[in-house]
Amino acid sequence: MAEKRRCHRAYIWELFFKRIAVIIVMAVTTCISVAGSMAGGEAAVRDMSRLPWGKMLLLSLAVLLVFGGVTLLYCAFQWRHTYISLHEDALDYETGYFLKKRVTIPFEQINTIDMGRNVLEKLAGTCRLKIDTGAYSNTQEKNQPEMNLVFDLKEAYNIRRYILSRSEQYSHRQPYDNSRAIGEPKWAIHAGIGDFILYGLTSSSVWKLIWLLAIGVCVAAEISAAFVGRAMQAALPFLRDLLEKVEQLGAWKALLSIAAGYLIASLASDIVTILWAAVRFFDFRVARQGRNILIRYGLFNEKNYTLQVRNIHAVIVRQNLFQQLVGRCSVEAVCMGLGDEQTETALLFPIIRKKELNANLRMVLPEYTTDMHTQERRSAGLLFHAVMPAMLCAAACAVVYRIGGHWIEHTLLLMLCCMIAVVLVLMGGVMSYFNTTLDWNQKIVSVQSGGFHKRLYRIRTDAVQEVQMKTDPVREMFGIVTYYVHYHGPRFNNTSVAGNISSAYFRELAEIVEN
Amino acid sequence: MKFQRVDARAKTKWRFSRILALLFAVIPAAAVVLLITSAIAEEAWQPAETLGIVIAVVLVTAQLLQIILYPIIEYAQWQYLIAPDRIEIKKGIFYRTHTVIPISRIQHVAVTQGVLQRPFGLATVQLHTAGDVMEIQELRADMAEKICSYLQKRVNFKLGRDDTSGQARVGGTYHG
Repeated sequence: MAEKRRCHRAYIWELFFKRIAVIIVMAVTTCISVAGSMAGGEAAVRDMSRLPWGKMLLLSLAVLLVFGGVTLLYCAFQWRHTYISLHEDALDYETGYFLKKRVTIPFEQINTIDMGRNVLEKLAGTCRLKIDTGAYSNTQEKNQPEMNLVFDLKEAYNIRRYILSRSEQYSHRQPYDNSRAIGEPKWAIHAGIGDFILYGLTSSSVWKLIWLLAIGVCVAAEISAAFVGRAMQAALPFLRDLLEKVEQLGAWKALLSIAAGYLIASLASDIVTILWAAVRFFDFRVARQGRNILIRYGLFNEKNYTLQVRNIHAVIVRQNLFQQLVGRCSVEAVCMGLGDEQTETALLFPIIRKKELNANLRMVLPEYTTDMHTQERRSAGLLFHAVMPAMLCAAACAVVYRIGGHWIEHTLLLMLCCMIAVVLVLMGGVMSYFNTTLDWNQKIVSVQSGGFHKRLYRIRTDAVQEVQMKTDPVREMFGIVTYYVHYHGPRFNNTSVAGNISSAYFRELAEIVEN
Repeated sequence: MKFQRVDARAKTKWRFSRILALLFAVIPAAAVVLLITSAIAEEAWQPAETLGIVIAVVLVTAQLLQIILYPIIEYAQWQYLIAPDRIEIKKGIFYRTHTVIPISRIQHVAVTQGVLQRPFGLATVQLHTAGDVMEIQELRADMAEKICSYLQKRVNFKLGRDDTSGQARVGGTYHG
């Protein structure tokens, strides 16, 4: 199977359109500017009409045709000199004639095989085969895959099957069961449209909640006057005065209008997010096949990833505030060669119940299923997570209120905003205190942190590169530190952080990582 | 195994670089602040001049502290340990950092020498892992070279690439 394989002819057209795209944009821009000049009035039309339009058009067309023809020929020439050859243990990728490039990719080093298809490729019956080793590159801004070519769909499947079989044989020295890679895999996770509606709805940021709180205060002020006012006024005289003052303000109506506008905009953004998620992750499926994970999704732009389990270094479980409230989470895989490009998301489960996390992981990545006991929390942590930040925020708010009071007429609104800020900082701090954990066993280091945005990292112990603890004299007095766990990921400097935890665990954690 | 300190000449080097920073960055910055605040005081807000003087004094005083006092504390805080299986680095004055890097995770080791380090015969050892780059700064240049070659051997031994050189070092600790 060492013969040279040329990619599909569609590759010529792809190269061609990439190269002439700039010319097309320039031509369109010129046409628009000419049309704009002609719309400038009768004098402009008269001046323009004097030009030899017929000749100019013919000349432009001739230039475009010649340029297009030469480009097309060059692309065909490029295609003719681009091929791959599959050997026993490596893949050779050669391209270029004048500037030759030859890349040898050992099968064992291949991290991700991506078989993506956009609408045009579906119509042409082709498939984009990307092969990525996850190597860092100094010459490229982003980590591009080592090979990115278009093949006939059947041939792409054959190439992938061959690479997987050779890779597995090479790494385990045992005969590869070729039948496993043929046919439809048994999908463990199959996300439906309901999941994406939930995914879109819960992908909102915390700012939405801040606005909701502000609206809540204003609405409470309005309602209190009409319905529950008496009861509230009787119970809380301070609140009565506050609400009365809020009512007197004309500004709060403006605030309500802004809030209503924001709500409409955020609703629209939710709908867009849901639609985007439903189209992008359409028919999302995940399966475990031997030592590989298969991920397939996409409506118009179909993605078909094959990841080697040994190259998955961590899983990240993310939960924003809304997801925490409804008990959902999304899971990402940290895999070499995937997620290092801007358009790539190494999503493993778009959204699942947090309670079912271990059950779902057991089906796909049992290596990351773990029941670790959480270490005891130090109550001093609460001081640094919540109390001190809230006090600092209150001090900053007092300064803002004092200075802002000179310029802002409605100081009560300013005070309300300051109070909301302090409450949010306190809330976030308390949540962060309860969310922060650091656990480990021989195989996995688990780091959980974040308040409104909770993140849980389950990192393979052998992927941890270094552990670090940072502290200051005040924290040191209480024996608490911040842990930084640096791990090997697709981007440089991947770190998970857990703040305000007892320093007593550092030595034990370092020993686990060393071994 | 004991933690070791960086070279004593590091204090002089730190002071020298900070004097340069004082002359070419901090004093000009303070002068600019004074000019701007005095202009504001003349045009609009009288207390701006006092504020400007306070900012300029704070800037210069902080830099003077960096020159006189901090190198002594920094020198006491900066410590490193090269054990057979790991490297530990402690640093920082207010924010103290303690880092442990298993030797098996080191991808390669490099020695760098900056322009200001050369006159003092100092160098920095860079430890590249797959996740980060850590540095042991302000070591004597020949010691940096020794540490570098020792670590290369340890890394090779850990990865099973060079058994003979590694065996000679089994259980050993680097003593600078």
